[in-house]
Amino acid sequence: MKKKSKWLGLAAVSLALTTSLSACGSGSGDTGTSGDIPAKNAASQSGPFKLGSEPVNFTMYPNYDWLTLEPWGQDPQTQWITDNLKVTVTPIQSGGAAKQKFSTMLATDDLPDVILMDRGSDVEKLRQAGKLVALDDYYNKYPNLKKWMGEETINMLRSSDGKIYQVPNWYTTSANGNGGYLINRKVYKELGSPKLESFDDLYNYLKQVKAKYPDMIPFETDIEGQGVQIMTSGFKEGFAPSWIGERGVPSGDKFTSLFTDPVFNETMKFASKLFREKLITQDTLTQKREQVDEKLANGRVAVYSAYSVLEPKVMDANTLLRAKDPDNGYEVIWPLHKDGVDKTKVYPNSYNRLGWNVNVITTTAKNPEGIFAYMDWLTSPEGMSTMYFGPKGKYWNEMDSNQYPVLTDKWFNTSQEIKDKEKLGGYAYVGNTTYLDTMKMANDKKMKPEQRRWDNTQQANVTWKTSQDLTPFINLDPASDSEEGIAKTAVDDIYKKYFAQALFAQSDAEVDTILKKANDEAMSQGYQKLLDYKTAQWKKNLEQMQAK
Amino acid sequence: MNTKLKGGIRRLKSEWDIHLMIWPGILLLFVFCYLPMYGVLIAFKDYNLYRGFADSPWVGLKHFRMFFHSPDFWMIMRNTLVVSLLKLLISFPAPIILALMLNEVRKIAFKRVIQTVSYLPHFMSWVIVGGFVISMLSVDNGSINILLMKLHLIDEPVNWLSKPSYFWGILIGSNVWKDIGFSSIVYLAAIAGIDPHLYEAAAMDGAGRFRQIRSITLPSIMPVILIFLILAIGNVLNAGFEDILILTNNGVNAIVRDVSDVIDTYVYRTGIQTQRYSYASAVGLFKSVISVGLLIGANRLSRRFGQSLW
Repeated sequence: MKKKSKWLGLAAVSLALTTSLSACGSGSGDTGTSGDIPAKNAASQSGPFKLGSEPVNFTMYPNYDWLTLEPWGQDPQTQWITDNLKVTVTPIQSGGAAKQKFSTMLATDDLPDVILMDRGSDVEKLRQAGKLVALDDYYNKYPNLKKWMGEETINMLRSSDGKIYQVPNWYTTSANGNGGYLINRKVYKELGSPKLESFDDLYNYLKQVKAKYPDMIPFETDIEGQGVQIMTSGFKEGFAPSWIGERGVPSGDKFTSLFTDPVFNETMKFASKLFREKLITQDTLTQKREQVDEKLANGRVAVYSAYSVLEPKVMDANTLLRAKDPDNGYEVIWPLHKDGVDKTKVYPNSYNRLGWNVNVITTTAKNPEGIFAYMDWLTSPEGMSTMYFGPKGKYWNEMDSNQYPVLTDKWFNTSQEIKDKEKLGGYAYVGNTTYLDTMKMANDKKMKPEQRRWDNTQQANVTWKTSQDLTPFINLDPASDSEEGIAKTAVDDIYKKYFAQALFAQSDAEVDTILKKANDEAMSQGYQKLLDYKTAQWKKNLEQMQAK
Repeated sequence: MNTKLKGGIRRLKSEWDIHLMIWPGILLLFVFCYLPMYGVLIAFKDYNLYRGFADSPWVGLKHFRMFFHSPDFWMIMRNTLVVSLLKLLISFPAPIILALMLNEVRKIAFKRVIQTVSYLPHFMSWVIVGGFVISMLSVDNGSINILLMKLHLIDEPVNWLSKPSYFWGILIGSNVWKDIGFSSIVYLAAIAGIDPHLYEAAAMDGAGRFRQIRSITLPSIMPVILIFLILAIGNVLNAGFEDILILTNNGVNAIVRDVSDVIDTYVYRTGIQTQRYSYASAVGLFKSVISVGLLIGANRLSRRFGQSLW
């Protein structure tokens, strides 16, 4: 008995020890990542940092649910960068829950060295908390970003303290966009290629489709009723579908309510009519992307409209259908419009010079100048070419006078499948749109028609030509916990609810009632304050663009 | 008192090794369950992630007031209560009925197969189940619509997921389908523990199958049923989260919001997604307080019938 209880005691002690140890374990451990840089003084050095002179290691976190960075060094480009420039990026993944991850990193003050995130309130909050490195000196010291972005864009990126903390991704000086309308070529031809320019044409065409092909979806709007939003562009010259996401419409010199806007009203009436007559997919609010992809791949869609009709899956569907029957497949048509609206002023697409999002360097970074030097290289013709066509010597050996890489035969003879495996274009997170787009088009011209990429042709013919510059309207969103931000949350909710109701409405009069109710409810939740905030931001942008 | 204490100390000395074994458990419970509870305090603060817990200002009951005055408050409370009462009314008795039915099955092999098949869906995540439901009920290419059309029961596809009147049915139905088998395991175990002599005696007295269920099986498993009922009542304000979120396509299908929005989806949408943590905590705290109240009430009530949790 005595012996037994001794053993029991020993077991109990070891159990207690191990549990308490394992409980503490999670607290210690990983503190920093890049230990080997004696860098603090690098920032104060006067000459520019020379890439390759010493290793630059940093962590990078993209603040998006859906964005997963590829492992670094597993493809020819990043391998080459590590070997030659001594830059190594350690990805930190959001794991599908970016908001939670970002909040946790802030709460524990464990920030990555570089964050790729949306412009706006989160960047501003980080700046106010003193977590970001000001980049003004670096912008002056390194040539490429300054040259390609232009003074105006740099000014737009300045924070309210006059300093610049952000490096933009996909900034541009030329129009782009992938939104609009696709038609099914085979169905169109079989129905006698009728005129398809105005919304009346569309209505008649959709009715024809429904009568002749009962299994087809006449008008596919993609998820969340995107196609309906795109249609707003055709009801008034210069009306941008993005006003819907903005939840306000600039009219005269201020933002006004979306719910009382005549263009939105007219669009909803038209959409609701199409929906009622079952010409629009009835699943638009419940379906997933995959369901849309399936319908497209099986050629069951007659007209398709979305913010991006040139997604990889759509291209796959097009390739698949054309392989079976050269007359099948999809094609982008010139955006539709209401009778009386000038068709050259219909813009389903918009762009802004600042591009998609920004990189910020946090104070955690040991060698911010090194990181900036790398970003500056990345956005240069050499950096972009390396990212998109592999390191020099792989698919190109020299650059022409425009600094475009001269692609070798190997590029044209290598199948897309192999190129996909090489992850070309990954990690190009200081995207230089203007350079890349003009290069793409220049290369396209050198190719034979059958070598040209379908999406490039569609972009050149339609989508890029129907895009307008909305740079003055960036950063109109308030911080989510401010008074205007809380109003925005409420208005977002109201929008979703009444957009759905208006789409399901049984008559034009009902659409009017629903939109009026939406407006009243939004106003009671502080909508006017939100609109005023947006007006003020817009004015500020205009001033900032002109400032030196 | 003194002798009691002395006796206690003596027992502690002689059984120290056994005591040592429970201490890690208590410590863990304290560290991971009770210590973090101070976080509830952010419900009374304007918590700002960038300023941290200590520097965020106290605001008293501001967030509670905001919730009670929100235009959606009554709608959310109604949906929460209706959905959970429906679950209580339908999803709670369903596994009991299944267990009773399975118990009457004579062929063991058949019973096993049914049992296995019916509890498998429990192990599928809601994302998958929701995907099934959505694609089956779709208008374009949805199997239910195709089936009904082929049977000439409907003339054109029904938009099941966008009709508010169908939503509760679909929600409860998919819940029952997913969990009926797994929940019935407990009841089957309880039934297996009933003394077979009781049935033999009842049969001698001329009791039929239904009479046996009513007079022997049900009373015998009543304690188990009651305990689960109390727990279910404590959960009344947990009307569901994942299931609703997925069936409404993450809230995008707002045409059904008037019947689908419950406390948890509301907190997620307006609190967590927009980083208004104080507001989310306030609503969550409100919910927890009511739930604890309900749990205690239900337990009191059932103590009268001689059953209770504590």
